[in-house]
Amino acid sequence: MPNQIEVNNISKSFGKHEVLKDINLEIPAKKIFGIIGPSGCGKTTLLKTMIGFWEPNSGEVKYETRNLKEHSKYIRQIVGFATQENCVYPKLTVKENLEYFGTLSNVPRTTLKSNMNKVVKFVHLEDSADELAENLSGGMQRRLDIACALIHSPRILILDEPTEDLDPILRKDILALIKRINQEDTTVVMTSHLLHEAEQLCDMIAILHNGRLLKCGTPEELRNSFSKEDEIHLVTIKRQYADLVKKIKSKDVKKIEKAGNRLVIRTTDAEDTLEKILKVIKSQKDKIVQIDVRKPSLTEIFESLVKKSGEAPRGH
Amino acid sequence: MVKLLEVIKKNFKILIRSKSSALIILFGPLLLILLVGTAFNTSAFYDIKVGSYSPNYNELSNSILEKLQQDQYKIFKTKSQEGCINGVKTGAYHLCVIIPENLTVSQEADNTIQVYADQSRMNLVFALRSAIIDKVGERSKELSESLTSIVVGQLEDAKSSLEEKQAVVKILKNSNEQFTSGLVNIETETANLNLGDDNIIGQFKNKTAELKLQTNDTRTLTEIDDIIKVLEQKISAIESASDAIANTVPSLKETAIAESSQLVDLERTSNKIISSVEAIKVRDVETLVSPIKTSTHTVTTEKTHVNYLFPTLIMMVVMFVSLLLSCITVIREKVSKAYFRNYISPTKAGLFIVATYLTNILIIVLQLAIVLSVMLFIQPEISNTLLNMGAAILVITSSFILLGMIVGYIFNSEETATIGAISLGTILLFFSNTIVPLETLPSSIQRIVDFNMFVVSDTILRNIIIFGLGLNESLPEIQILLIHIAIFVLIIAAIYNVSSKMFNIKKYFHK
Repeated sequence: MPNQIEVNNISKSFGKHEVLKDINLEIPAKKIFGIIGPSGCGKTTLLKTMIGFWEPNSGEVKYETRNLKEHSKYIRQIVGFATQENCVYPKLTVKENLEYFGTLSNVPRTTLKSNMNKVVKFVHLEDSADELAENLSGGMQRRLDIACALIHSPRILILDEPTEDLDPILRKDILALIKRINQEDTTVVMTSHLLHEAEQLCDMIAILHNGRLLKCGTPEELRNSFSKEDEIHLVTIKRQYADLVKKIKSKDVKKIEKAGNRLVIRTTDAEDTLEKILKVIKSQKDKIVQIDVRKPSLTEIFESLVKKSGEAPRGH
Repeated sequence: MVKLLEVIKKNFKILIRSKSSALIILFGPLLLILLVGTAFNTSAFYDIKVGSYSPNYNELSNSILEKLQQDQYKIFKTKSQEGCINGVKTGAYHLCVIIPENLTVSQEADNTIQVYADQSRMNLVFALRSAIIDKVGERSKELSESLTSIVVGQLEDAKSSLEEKQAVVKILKNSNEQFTSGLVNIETETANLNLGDDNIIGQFKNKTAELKLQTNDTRTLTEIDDIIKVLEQKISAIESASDAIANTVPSLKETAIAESSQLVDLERTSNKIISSVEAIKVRDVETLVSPIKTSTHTVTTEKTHVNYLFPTLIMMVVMFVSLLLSCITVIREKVSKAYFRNYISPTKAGLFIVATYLTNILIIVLQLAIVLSVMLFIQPEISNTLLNMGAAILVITSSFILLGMIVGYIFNSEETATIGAISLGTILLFFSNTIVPLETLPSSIQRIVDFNMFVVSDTILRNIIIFGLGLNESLPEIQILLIHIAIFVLIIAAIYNVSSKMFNIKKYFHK
């Protein structure tokens, strides 16, 4: 199956301010596609250009092989969009908002009610269906916004910073909701400046920096492209790591550093290094509190890519 | 159609659920009309303070002030002329009346009453000045009538005396004629006497001489001689008297003839005077005092201020509510977070414009229904004009709503849009007849102001409500409004996209 969305050489400027430069994306169907980058890197502009709110200075966007400019009505029918600002009417109830946006999205009257019930249930707002939107909590408002984007059963859902301004619990809720939406065979395109969040959720990730696309791929592909090394994070009861550091040194161990209570060891042979660590701890009659073996985080990859690009992030 | 209704429904819900909006929409006009209806449902001026100063008040000046007091004017006598004039400047008095010392009715006296007014309150000044002039004029007329009635009375008396004396003149004239003819007779008779011509005495003497010769009775003869002598004396006396009469009668005749001509002259003069007095057609004192009367009649039957104010009142409600409501509806939608979702929905932009217009027009129709219901209660006769009024208001409201929508699309915040709409309304109101007559403006500006939507709309409503005319009579004004509407629609269509994108550009950079 061809890519569901294709972004080809998109550039967008506001006056002399170039926000997007030659962006190319290929977004496959039924995946969660994350666009990550710091605030001000052009994520929102990219999304708004992708749905036709902004007209690009150059390049084109295609949905299911159809050009956005020529088939905007059709494309708006198959795309749902939720911004980071909760695009709902505060003076309307949950149901009224859904009914209103459903009608605008050409949902037939006969199916609108069932759609509303389904969506309300899906985003867990059944108990607040008759509440005014302004009386809902931040998380509920975000869920209502997503519900409004889903009311016309779109095949593609675009979410701009869906977890922005939410506390960790609500954030977890929304991420779970996105996962469920995707499980219903809806393609999700989302932006986030919280890199670890995208790392957990997305099937594919594009890294955006100062309006340029630095890298795009699955999280695994990104990690591999960055480094073959693994990181071992270790915390012991005694937290005395000096002897351990001396004993595990080898050609495979590239870097050992202390980060707070933890000892971080970067190695090209994680299994061998782990064996050595366990032996030393046993001999010292110490005990392990926590031990993790992981690839470098997306944050590290991002930081490395930014360094390579030689550009400081906008607004920093 | 379903989408349109859904958008209108949403607009209504949002407006009604916003307490302040609901209050303004439903109770604002009702409150306004009630206040205006109660306050202006009268034709009089209340609590008008008139300062007055005169170095010396007399009966006449006091009577003028009393006349003003009878009409609910409050009179304040000041100690000095400056105090009175300054009172107008400080707002203590609405007018200042300076009455000359010992106001009297005489040729020498200065009877000029000076009225000082604050020209910045022009409408009130004109009304009050006219009222004061009326009151002073009333008193002045009374005085004139009294003086004129004396003159006319004297004239009438003289005429009747002359008429009475004309009979006497006639008698005198007749007597004179008789006297003259008597004189002529006397003259004739005297001339015919000829006592000496017949020589009667000589004949008497001859006969007596003959008797003497025939008789010796000397005694008798002597007695006859004595008689003859007496007779001779008498005849001589008669002759002298006759001569005297003959001498006197011509002069008497001349005098009588002269008197007769004087009497004729007198009669002619008195006749002339009488006929001159009779020739004066107008002898009615009131007519003499005010030979030409002016009276102002209203072209309508209404009597209270509210009747005259009604079209302007309706216009002010329509203009401000339309401008503000449509402007706020647009700007609230524009700044609403949900605006973006509307924009990206598969719905044409025109539908939102039409829905905004229809929402506003429905709300204003609702408001006007309230206002008109109250007015129908106050003034039931306007029910005849309801249909025409409804049609006119629809056109008028449409033009103002579209103008308000333009303001809404141009500005980017509710505050600036509201100020913009109010400023626009104030400009339209200021360049209308409501505050200052348009005739006070230079003709070049007047030509532009003739196209002022407020002026045009006010004219239409005045034609319908006050003069009871049909829509045909206001066709040129309606055409002007329709042209306005067409232009506004084009402007809205042109700026809708631009303004929405501009707004989001600003929002982008703000973020």
